[in-house]
Amino acid sequence: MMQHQTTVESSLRRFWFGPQGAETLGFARLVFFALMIWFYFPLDYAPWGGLTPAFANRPLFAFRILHLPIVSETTLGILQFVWRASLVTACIGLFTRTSVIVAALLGFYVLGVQGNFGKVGHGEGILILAMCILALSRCGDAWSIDSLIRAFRSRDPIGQRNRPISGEYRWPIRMIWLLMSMIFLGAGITKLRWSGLDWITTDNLSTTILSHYYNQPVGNEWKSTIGIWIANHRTLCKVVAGLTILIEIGFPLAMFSRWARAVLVPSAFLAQVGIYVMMGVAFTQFMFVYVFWIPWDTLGRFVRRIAQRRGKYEMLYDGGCGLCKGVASVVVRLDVFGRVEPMDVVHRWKEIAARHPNLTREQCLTDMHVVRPDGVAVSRFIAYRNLAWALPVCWPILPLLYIPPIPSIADRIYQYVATHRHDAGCEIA
Amino acid sequence: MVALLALFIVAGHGYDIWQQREHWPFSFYPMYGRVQKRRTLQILALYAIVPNDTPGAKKKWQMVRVTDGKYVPPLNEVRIRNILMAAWGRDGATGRAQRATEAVLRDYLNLYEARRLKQLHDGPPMLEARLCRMTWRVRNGATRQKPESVESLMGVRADGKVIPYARRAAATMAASTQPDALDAAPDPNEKPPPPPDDNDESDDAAPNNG
Repeated sequence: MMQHQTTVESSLRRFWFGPQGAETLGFARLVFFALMIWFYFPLDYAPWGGLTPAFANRPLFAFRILHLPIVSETTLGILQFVWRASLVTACIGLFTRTSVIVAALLGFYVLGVQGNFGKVGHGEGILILAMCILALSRCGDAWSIDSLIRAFRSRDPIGQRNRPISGEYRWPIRMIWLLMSMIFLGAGITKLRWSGLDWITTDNLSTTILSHYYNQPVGNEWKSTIGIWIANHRTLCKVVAGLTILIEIGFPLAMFSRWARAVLVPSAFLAQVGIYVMMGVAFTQFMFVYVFWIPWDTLGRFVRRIAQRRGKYEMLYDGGCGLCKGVASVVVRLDVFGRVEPMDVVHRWKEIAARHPNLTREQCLTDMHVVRPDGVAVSRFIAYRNLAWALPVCWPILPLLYIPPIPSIADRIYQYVATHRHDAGCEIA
Repeated sequence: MVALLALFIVAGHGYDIWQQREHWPFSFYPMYGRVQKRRTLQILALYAIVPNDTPGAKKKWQMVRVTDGKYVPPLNEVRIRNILMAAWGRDGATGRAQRATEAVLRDYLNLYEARRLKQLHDGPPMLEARLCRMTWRVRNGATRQKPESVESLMGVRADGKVIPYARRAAATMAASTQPDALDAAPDPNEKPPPPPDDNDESDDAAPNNG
């Protein structure tokens, strides 16, 4: 009995707190908030504050018990502005914990306001709860500006290769899985409680699809040939309805079984895409949460393997200079493909000299050097420009680095910083 | 903390699923949960009574379905329908439903007119805001998009006068010749129709509608 209890406990512990790298959670956070920015920035919620109380005839439970008023249009506009700013900072990972807390709290209000007007939207609830989970997590430990700042301050380029592994990066993802499972389970149970097996065995789905073509906003009509074709095949409708219930009720299994996950998560995703194709009902916001099911670390390893076939860049930095070490640490942190090898000129000169006999120690201590995969050594701004090829985050600005007079200006800035770096706290000249 | 958070999520959704009630951001996710057996579809809609400028027209006014959100943003067609459905309830029979619907129609008309006078939209003057019920027969292929009937339920005129069309109709045609005539043989044991929004997820349908 005691042993059984211990097994259950250790399984639970492994489920929630099994060791995991920070990358998956961090990257999922970045994509999640980027999708929210893409979706919500074109929408203006401020006008809800300009409506009269008669329209707010279905006050949300949360607004009622918290006595939250519908604020004026101007105030709602300000709240919306701050909320949008917090989405951006949460996405890039600047002051991540604070940003996500603000995004969750203001999102609760800004997105909740419209739910008081006639009908509550089901797309936002999951986003609010997901943001609450992220607000309590350490989702800013990777893929964030915070992590770059920490890397710079650490001045330890080699140490950046050892990314943290902890159960702290696992439970937030598992919690979002739990959240999604409860939602699908709820939808499945509700269908069975309200309609029983009639939901599957009658012409319900066929009628639902067809009815939807009448129930559409003018100017945004949706009529799908596939939808009509499916609706006209009653047996197919029953099969689809049966599968829908099966996916919804069975979805919680995806939390525990790798096989169930591989089947149920894509099935649920495709089912929602199918609803859009057949009926024009989009679960866009809801679908953002699928990013937490993607094994980003596995994908990352795969991409890294391919990228590394193109060779490595050796970054030779002055290991006695605090600024140089800080910059090198940031470069290593940004090097998601693992194509940059940091080499400390002060402490690993023998190794460097053996590999590159044409370089002198004085040269390397004066200017930052990079040895490209083809063996050519470049220095100063050109060295940084070459490194930019290995760092995906630099790719959008890469073409600019070749347009005159940017290279000459950048090289002068480099020279100024390099000659003054010892004034800024370098350990040795 | 993790255990508490997990409990919060399970309990929040679990309670809603058990009680079949909505406590946003938790929900029991009722969309499309109710089985649709009848092949008729009834939807409420907002109509505007506006002057008829067509030369030679007999009627001096015409009834136009309000489908554009530009008149009173952010109330697009779907949202105002949901608000009217929440106000009207199942059949608008209660005094509360009548008052709530009247308030929505009155405020819509006032906001529409205020915005029109400020030239914030180019719509014609609104003489009356009217709640109507449209009925379709669902056909294979979803052909014939025009509703088979449009029944006036309640109107509020620009001078503030309220016209309870549904009550008048009920009083004058006690037995009913009109509205649900499409249902050839309604089942006397059939439960009353669900609140209109239970199956309506169309607000989510409009892509940028949030």
